[in-house]
Amino acid sequence: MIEGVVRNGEYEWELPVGFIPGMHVPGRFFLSDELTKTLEEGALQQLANVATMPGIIHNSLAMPDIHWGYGFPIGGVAAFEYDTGVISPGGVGFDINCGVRLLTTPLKPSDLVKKKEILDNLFDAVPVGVGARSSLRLSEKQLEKMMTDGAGFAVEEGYGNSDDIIHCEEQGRMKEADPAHVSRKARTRGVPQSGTLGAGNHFLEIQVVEEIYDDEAAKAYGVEQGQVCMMVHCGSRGLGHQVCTDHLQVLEHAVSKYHISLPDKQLACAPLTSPEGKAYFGGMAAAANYAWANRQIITHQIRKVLTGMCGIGYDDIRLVYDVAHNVAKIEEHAINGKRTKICVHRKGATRAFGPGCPDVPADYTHVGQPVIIPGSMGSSSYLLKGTDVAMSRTFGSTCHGAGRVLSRSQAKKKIQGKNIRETLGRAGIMVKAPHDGAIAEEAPDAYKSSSEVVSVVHNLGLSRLVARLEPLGVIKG
Amino acid sequence: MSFEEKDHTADILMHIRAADPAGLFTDAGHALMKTMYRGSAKPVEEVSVTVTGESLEHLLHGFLSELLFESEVQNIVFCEFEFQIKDGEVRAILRGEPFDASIHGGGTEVKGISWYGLSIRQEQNEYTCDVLFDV
Repeated sequence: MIEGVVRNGEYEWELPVGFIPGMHVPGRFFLSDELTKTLEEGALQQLANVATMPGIIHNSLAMPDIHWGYGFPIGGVAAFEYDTGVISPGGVGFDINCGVRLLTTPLKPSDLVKKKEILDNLFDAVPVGVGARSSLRLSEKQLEKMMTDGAGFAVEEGYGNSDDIIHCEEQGRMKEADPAHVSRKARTRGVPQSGTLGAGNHFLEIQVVEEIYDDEAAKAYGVEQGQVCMMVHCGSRGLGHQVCTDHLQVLEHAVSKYHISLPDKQLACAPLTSPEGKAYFGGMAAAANYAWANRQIITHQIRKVLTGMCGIGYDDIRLVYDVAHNVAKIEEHAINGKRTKICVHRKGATRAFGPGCPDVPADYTHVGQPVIIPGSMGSSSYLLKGTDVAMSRTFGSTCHGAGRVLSRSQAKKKIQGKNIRETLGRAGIMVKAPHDGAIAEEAPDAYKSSSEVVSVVHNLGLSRLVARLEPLGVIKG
Repeated sequence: MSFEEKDHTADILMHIRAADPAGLFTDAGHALMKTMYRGSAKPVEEVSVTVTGESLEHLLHGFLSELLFESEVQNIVFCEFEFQIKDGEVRAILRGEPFDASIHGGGTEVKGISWYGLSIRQEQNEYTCDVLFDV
């Protein structure tokens, strides 16, 4: 382990105050011995950098999928006092509200006799990859409503049902959204990309529930062993990327205006209560709403394909939940025994609210919020539940995925897309992508084991395992 | 003179070398386009952009952000660049052809241009910098 890091338990490590100059609080991260082998020094430096930011509460945190990111490490969580703290795009990322949703179906794998045709039709229905355009023609007014109303906009337009809204984090809409802080450029990027998946690690998968670990929670979530599910992983597309780019420019100047001392320019930020901080938060929330609507539109396309090909009803395909794993939110948490309004940044981290939290849907409140952890291509994905431990230790947060260990160029040099397609094919997993290079970049070997990451948060109690899902068919952007 | 990809776990890090600032901007532009698209393009369409900034790094960051924006919204794969760089301003002419998935498809989506390590160095007759594309 890197010098200066203190081990505090089987899975818990600390960067003491003083690890770098200016830290207000310690850094704390969670790793098994196995996962320490791939820990990057740069990611730890970023964890320490976050601890120097004004108004940070308790700890700068990182989940077991920690890796080197923009400003914050990926897997980073930090909460800031509302009155004296800051908000930073570096704690959210370029892909605002990148997130995951899980849908259940009444189908069994044996019902997928036309799996290749289903995958082909999904590939045609959901535009994927660089340069892909939506078939939707959003008007200015519709885009505005998409940013204001989020998933609710999509449902109102006929892309879903009211039950979907209930089963989204924030009910698919951050009320603080202010499209006035979304530039013309961002809107121009957003219009042709609504309902598109994007590229990189984003995917649409046909999965099967392979194992149930928690019967009570699985029953509450409507998940059964042997059930065919669909998982969608994508975000706010070019609109969100541009919101981040635009506000970084403004916040770079806010840092000097508000006399904030930072060890890294990528942590550009502003006080939450300043005009610049409020503008970023309003624009970020609008982009987050765009992302929820985007995943809702994709859900509609999935339902149309499956109802047309598998003889099931539209409403038989049920949304279990939709989580955001790149976002900043104003939330109430118990801080030193008192309910306090704070700003929680989750950058490659998932909200994991425990039983009884008012923000958990009524039908899940007795077990806690569903947490969806996508695996890398061809590997297991997991459904977990939020816990009281997460509420008290990590501001109600847990991991978000596997985390890369190989760069894209290393992956492409080491791994042939064609070979992966064949290997996965032999395991019964069909892969469809615009190009073999996209498959190589996202090969399973390029990522940490999602199982190892998930076992750390399960053993620590930051979330608890409910079910394991295995891929049957993958669409990569 | 050239660009080459360096290892970075999460994103795409490019090392750029050129004889002058215009060459550096040109190679950085090619590095971005080669990341986003496969195949080659012809200079059949033209777009002009102007960027202002307080330093050469700000101008490069601003130019690449603008190139990303124009390529995405105009759906053009750019292959030729012409620059006028003076104090605090870059005027660029970008030339390329419309995106065709059968020729250019299969690239990596770039979300934004990072400030990570973005520092332009001048040594004798060479300008160098690293630029990170967030993907």
